[in-house]
Amino acid sequence: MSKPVGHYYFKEGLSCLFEMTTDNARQLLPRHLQPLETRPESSVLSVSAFDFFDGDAGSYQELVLSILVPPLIAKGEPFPKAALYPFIVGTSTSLGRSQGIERWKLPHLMNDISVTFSEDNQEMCLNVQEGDDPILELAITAHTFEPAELLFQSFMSEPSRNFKANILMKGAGYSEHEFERGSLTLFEHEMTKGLTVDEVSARPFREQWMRNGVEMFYPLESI
Amino acid sequence: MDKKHAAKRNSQGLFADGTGQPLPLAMQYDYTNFYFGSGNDPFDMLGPFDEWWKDAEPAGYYLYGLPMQGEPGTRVNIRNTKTGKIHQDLLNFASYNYLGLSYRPEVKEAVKKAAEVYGNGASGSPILSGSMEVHVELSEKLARFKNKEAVLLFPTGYSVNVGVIAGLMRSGDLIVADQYAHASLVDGMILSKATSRFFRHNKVEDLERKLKKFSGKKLVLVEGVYSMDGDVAVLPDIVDVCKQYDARILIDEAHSTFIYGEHGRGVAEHFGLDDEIDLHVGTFSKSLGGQGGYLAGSQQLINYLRGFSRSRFFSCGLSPVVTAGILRALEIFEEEPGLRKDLWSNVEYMQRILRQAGVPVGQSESQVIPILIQDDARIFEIGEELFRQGIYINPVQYPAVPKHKSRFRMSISATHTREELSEAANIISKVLEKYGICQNQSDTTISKKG
Repeated sequence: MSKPVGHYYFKEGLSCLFEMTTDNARQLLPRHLQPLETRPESSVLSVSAFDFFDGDAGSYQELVLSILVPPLIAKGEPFPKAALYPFIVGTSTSLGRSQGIERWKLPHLMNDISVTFSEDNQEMCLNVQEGDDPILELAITAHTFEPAELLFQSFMSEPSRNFKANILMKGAGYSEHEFERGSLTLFEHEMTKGLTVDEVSARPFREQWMRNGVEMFYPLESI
Repeated sequence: MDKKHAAKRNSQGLFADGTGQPLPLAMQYDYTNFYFGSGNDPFDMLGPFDEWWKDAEPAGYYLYGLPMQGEPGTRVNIRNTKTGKIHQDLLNFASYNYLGLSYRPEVKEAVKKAAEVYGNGASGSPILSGSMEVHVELSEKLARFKNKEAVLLFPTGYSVNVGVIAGLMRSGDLIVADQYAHASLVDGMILSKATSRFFRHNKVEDLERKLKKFSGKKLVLVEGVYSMDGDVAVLPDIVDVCKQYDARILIDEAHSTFIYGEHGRGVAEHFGLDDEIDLHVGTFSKSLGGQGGYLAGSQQLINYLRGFSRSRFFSCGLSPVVTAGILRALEIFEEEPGLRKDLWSNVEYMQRILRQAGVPVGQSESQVIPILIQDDARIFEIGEELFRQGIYINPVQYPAVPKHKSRFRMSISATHTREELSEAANIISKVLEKYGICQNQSDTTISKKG
């Protein structure tokens, strides 16, 4: 792999995986991508949130809703932990938003959102809103934290071009478990409008929590 | 895998175990990593998989499929394929020979006699030439036992579910299965092309959520005893919801027939719901110690599925030799109700002494006892230690169970002695203590007398 060209430092990087119907996942994906099916007709919604404190876009918070897809693997290339297609991103600052759109071709909500992180006894609760309008509430629980480096693939699209980027997440502490202790509440909002809300599981089957880390973007590649 | 390649991988996907030590490369990947491959040749995945396997097999995956040198009794000899050594007299908790019937002398005698009459295989599909008199005898006897109008035999338990579900359900129908449903149930769903949904394990409110919006044909799939957790379906609540939404119910009693219920008919009988369940599926490979499976239900259902279960009529019929053995095992089961009492006595004893020793056994209520390790990185190391200490038991890890829920699956038999159970519990608790999985609740060794 070449060197990373984007660095975003975070205190908290959270991601929960939820089951959703494959039909719904397919509706949110561009034509060249297929949804991952963990079981027949069952695909995966990833709800991720970051509390960035430094880096290319400075300090801001971000919510990313993605669909998990099969990775694009070339012989001799490193194998990613997961591959995702972010179908909507919300940020708390215009700088964060413009970086995401211009550098990484990610689809964004064009208004600022607020992401509030509240931690209590190894559980983090997130409230995400646009002004007074709720978008979602997420609770994530911890298992045990160990240092980790995780490689992800992200797919992006423009009307006439498709891209892929490797993203390396490196953290001082990373917890991952499948104890189904977290929760998700989705509200009617522009960011969630593509989801068939009552078919999205309210409990995550996997909870991933990284602390004190950096998200490193590698250059976009056309595919 | 060369060092340069290994170093490159290490820099981009290093995992550590619970002690902070880096995992061996073999443990950083699992089968799911090789599900998708690049390139245009389906064989492109074989090379990378093989490269991983060369590390993974000696690292612990060799523990799967170790050749047993004799019958699956309570003590067995197993060849260690890593060392070549034959380990003698291991305490066997891996075989699901729950009533010890597979090696009963009467069963072996019946098998020998059947071989004299029929030879080895059925040499034909059951709808063509592969139906023998012994198959009819077993079907009729089993139907009487299950108190159903008729039974349809299948060559394996797996093929029952695939054949029945795909034989009954169609594109546009809805099938809702418990999330822990066996692979055979899931494959039946896929093959049927019906809309497939899953409800959270034993959570009836989630089942209701999935059923209530659908107005067409509906089938719900549950198991009597779940094979990885050893817990029982919340059948009364499930039946209530299914009735409310006009859904048919299939119960797979592979691990519960001949064990639960007043007559041993299964969990449905145990809850007094035998007549509320529409399709009763079971196998012969567990309690009856043979092979094959069956569907029990109404004559109409059997007549229909005889014509539409592809996994049955496109397969060779169940071996007549095995069928004769199953028939004799069923007779013994009915003649000796003490077998079930012995099994339940052993289950109660083992569950108690393991819990007392601080061994985590989850929510098991049955003869299937998961020994929860929850340390995906060290399950194989612990398995090897148990093997060396004289216990034969299989590790189960992701993706067969969720991450951080690795376990050993323990199967209790009616023929285990108290001494064997106590000896096993002592060894297991001491090994798990050594690895920090449990703290022994008392300093005393578990008494062999129980």
